[in-house]
Amino acid sequence: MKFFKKIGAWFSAHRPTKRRIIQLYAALLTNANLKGFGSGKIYQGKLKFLCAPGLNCYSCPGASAACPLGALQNALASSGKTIPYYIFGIFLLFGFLFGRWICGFLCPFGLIQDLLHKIKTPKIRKNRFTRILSYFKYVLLVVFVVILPLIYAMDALDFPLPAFCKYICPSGTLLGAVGLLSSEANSPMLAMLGPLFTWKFCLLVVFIVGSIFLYRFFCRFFCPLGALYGLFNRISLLGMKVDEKSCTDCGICVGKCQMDIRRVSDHECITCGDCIDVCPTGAITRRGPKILLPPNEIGGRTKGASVKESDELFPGTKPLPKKTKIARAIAAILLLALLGGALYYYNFVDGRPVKPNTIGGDETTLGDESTAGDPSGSNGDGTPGDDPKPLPPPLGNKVGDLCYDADLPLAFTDGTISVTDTRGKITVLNFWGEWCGPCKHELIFEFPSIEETYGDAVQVIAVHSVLSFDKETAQSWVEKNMPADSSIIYAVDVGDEDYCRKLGGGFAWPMTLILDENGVILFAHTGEVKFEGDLKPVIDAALAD
Amino acid sequence: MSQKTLRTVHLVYGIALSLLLLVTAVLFVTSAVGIYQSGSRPFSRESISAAFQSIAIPVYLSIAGIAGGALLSLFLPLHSGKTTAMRDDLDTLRRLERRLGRHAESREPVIRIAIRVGAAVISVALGIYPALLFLDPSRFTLENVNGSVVNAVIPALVWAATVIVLATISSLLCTHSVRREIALCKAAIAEGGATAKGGAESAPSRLRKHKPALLFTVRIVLAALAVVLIVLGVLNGGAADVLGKAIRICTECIGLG
Repeated sequence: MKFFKKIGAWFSAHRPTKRRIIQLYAALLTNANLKGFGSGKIYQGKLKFLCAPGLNCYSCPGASAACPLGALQNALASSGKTIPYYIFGIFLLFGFLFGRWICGFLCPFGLIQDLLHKIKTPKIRKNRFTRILSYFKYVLLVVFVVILPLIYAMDALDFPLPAFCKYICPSGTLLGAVGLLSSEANSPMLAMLGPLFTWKFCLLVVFIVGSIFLYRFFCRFFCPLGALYGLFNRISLLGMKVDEKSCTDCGICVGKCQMDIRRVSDHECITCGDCIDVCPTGAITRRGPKILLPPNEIGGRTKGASVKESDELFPGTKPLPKKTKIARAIAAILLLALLGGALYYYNFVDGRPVKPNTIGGDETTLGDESTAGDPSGSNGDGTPGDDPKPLPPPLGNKVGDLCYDADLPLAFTDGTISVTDTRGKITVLNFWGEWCGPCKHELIFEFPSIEETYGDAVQVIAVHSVLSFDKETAQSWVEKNMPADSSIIYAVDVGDEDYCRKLGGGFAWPMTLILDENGVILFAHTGEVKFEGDLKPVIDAALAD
Repeated sequence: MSQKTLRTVHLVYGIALSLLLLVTAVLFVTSAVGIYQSGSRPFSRESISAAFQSIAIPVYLSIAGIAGGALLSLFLPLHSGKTTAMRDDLDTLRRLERRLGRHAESREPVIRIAIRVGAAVISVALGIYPALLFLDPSRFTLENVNGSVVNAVIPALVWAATVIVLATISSLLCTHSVRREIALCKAAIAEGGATAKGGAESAPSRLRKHKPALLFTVRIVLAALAVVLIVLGVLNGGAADVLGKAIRICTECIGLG
């Protein structure tokens, strides 16, 4: 019996704090699309217009909402076309409601750093230098999140550059890239690894190791999202409050805090509440909505009263009134219902149906299978032929396969073009989108070289994504940036990205296929291609044959 | 086991684990760079697994070390030491000055503030240059990627490092010596600088005294503005743009090109 009591006492002493439970809850709610980790596909439903408050990459397979930082960069990059009211409103709302309470309670990457910091190693304490370094995140905010996307948006080339996401964000590398690449279904994406991924991977390792030795290494020195939210800390609804009459300026709260604060509730405070425990006069309390607190809990504890545990969300010196207990119970039930509902919805209700074989609703018409020939090489009556024909390649979207045929609607004029129309020529089939930076970059810098070098021997067909296809915008971009006498044929996808899935075999842009004169796939690549390194060797070899 | 022995055990274990983790991290980085420099593209799951196979033992040892550290903390916990106070020197100075009857706020000379703000602005402005240098898309071609990356990155890193050092030095130099002023105040109080008006206050004003009405008004305005902006954003297609971007895998954003 004593033994079980000891075990019970041990578990009771080591149970997770309420803050940790809230962090886990938020991480699960933000990544409610659990089936995405198994299938390797991201959630593509309508709810993704919502922004999660913390740093959670929207390319993460489990992400249930958009990342506010990525959305801000893309909104700024598109600010010439659409004034980004929505994302500004989202930031105002999150800032005014939560401030850096988000960092302390809702951010999944913050949770990862907290857990990494628990690894048993000597720690580097904060000092004057770390305090100065904590302002570096404001430089990153201004340069990488605001200025660079705006510069590239105003550039004549007009392709978006989410600079922080592309070059720095460890959440994208860890949750997005590693999350996607860990699935077998995304093995083709490994072909895209290059200098950029090497740089980001090395940076991720630095952030992980840094978080082990320094508390919240990324949050303190590099996170632009925390920098933004910190500006609202003084006025946010949730936060910390110091009772001036009880405070004796002993400085123990600042000493205990592992963030680079100068005082409780300044722009570095993530409202973790560690300072509440150590304040000898009980001057520090949480600032919260009064609706759940009776008046005598707002002003802080009575001097000399016992210190409550810091994991209590709403500390008080008197027993909670029955109404408060009921309100808390209802809140807990509602939150659990929200999480359960989200998990059910994302994983069982709203999964965008994947229709890889449907083009125009007819699953059987795709591809001209008669051109594949009779694989048996027989005379048709069961007897072997005198001169057995070589087996034709199978229909598919891998190198060596015969490319499926498809009638592609033209993007800017009426009519269609079929993939078989270009038989007899080398065909370069490129899948792009006007919203995709690397797609536009390769169209501008790489594909004109094909026509300059090979003339009519090679035909380029650029197939625009059907999602968010705006004919006027795409046509205006093409007219502005591509040579007027270009022979590139512009088509557009249909259905649920049917051609992209069937012909290209993937679901990431850009994608490029090179077909020989008979329609056999010689080259298939997801990601930006270079003329000299990728296209020219294949086309030269095909023309030589 | 005495606290002293326990402390030694934790310290030795921590140092050993730190070294192991650092070595593992360096091996990870060198393996990643090695895979990229090997040039055996396109990469496959098999080739990457084979490349990381060589560092499997340090990785497993690190995992075991982390687990061991967790068990050590759970079953042989170290009692946390006394929390060291860290006074905000400016607040201490204000409190002492209030006792002396001086101006409640310690004001820096304007020139110092101007230098600090100027240093910050110049740091940001100069910081854009290496970012643009590094991010110029026309610089990188796959063929000469080693040479051009080195040629572009090194000057950019030197420039960025220079900016950071300049900003740090200027910030340190511009911080006026609060400790010296505190010493002067304490000396003045000891010589009989009597408490004057405001001296009865035992605690400094830690936060600016926002009038509750002003704070309430600011919050209401922000809430209303946020709702209006969100509605406008939904109406002008901003929300649809967020959705459009979020439902596509951004290979750029996750470093896949």
